[in-house]
Amino acid sequence: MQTDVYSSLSTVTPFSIRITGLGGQGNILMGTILADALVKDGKWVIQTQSYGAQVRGGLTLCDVLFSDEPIDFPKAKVFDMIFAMHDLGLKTHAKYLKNNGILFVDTSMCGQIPRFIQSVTKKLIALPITQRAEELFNNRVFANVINLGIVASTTKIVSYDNLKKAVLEHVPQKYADRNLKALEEGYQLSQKVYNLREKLKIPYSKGTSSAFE
Amino acid sequence: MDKKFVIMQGDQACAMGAILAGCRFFAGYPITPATDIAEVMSRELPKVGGTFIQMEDELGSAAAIIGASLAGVKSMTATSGPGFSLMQEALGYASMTETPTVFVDVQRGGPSTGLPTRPSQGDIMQARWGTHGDHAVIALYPSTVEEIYRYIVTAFNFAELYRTPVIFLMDEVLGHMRESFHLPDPEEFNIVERIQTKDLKRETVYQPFLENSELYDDIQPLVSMGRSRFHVSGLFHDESGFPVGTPDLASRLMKHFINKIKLHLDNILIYDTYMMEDAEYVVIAYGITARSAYRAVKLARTNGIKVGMFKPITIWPFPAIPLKKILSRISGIVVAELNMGQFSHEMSRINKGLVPMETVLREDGALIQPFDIVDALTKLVGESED
Repeated sequence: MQTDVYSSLSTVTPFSIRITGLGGQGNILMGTILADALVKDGKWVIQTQSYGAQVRGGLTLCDVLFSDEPIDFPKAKVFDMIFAMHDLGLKTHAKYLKNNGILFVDTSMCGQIPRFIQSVTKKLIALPITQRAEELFNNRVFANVINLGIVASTTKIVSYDNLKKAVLEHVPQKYADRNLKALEEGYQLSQKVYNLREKLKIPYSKGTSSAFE
Repeated sequence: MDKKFVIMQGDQACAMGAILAGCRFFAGYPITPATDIAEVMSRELPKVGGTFIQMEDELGSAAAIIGASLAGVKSMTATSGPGFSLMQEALGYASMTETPTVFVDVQRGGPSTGLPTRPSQGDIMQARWGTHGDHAVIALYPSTVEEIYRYIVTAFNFAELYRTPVIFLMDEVLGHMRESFHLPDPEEFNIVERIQTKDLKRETVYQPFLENSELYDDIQPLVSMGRSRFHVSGLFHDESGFPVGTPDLASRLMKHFINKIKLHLDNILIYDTYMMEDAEYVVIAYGITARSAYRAVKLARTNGIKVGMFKPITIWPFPAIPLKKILSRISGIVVAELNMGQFSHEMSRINKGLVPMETVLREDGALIQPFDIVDALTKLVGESED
């Protein structure tokens, strides 16, 4: 049992997630809820976010790192998963996606997906999430909770029960039902299931790429 | 293990730990990246019967916590570099009046307003020599959110025990990052409580500035103003606190300031060492840089370099004694820090060219990458860079 950061001798790179969008879309809340749910699952988590002058309308991002081992270095350069909630975020941050990482795109907010992504990954989830939120709730702010449902069903990194608990801790009481409905909607929206990271076994290799990141 | 596994922001952990330590007064002025401490305090302090004041500026904040502490309440303030500069005058006053206070400085890039949302470790020397005149100081600098929670309690204990302002350093990444950790049980902590006036006997004459306490066999603890009446002054003063400007008294008081820290180094110096048993080289890093260094040490170890790590929690007083011991049995050191060489300057002072030393310095507001430290290590070991 690892008790703190300095009790671990592992050099495993933690899984990294970047959620990017415009201020006001709720991407930082989405990262916060995801981080809380991962902690409930017993994962070691570090969540950081961009702190800038922007409040609403500017590009923001939220990074979540998680691992079974305590995480020493709190930043990541490249990401196993990127969630683009807005075109600006997609164009700016898609280049930080790891080879064979998963890219989530909210097509109702994003334009064309950059062509180079084809040569980086085939794991692409593109859905009109904001449009779906507007249809269902007549309000686009529920998009980020739908996103959480999609992440949970597609990647299986977080248990659905704990995600539910984490959502309820963060949303106001009177919107609890609608948020749970949004989460459920997201969970059912896509049937695709992808692994966050796939190990290709190379003979003779010790399999630690950590020195290069 | 049945400890609660939680996720907390560094600033939040600082505030919650302070409340656990018995802090019941907070005066502050919002400044990124320390605003969150004030925010949590404003929400949580009233729940435990404490007081939160947003002051007009940092000068007022620092003065307010000194007043509150003299009145008998454990108090603290939190700020960042620019605000910490403004607090230096009051910090000196707290030193001179030997008032237990905790100053949290969540460092950001400087000088001046600098880089508000980026980390730096540029206030190391300011924490030591920021205020004018000779004085002893205690500065702690944790490196994880869990350590923030633990060592803010230590900071309050040190302030009470040694009757001195304690500077609690953090940095932007530590302050803003949310991290998971096993929440320590409140019963794990020994909390030094303030002696209340009602604990004094009616016939006891309490002199607040006695050099050695006959009542307590050590540094005279501060009791709250109330039953005991005493005077407080920024001028050199006698045992009762009234100004006396004679040279021999000034010299005695000054030596007392220095000695009360120096004679308790055993308790005050907190540091951690990792993988030092067979180490030939050592990486010295503190605060958020210790995280980069720890990864670098692990990476270097997997590549056959026998390297250990020294992580001071107590930055001031400088951990010269344990470092001297390490210097005598290794063949090279790397010092990593997010400034242009403040701690490494002290390091070279005690090293005196004894062993080769490499520094990894960074000032652009980004974290030192683990690989930069590995690079410095390989340079030290003498391998070619390819």
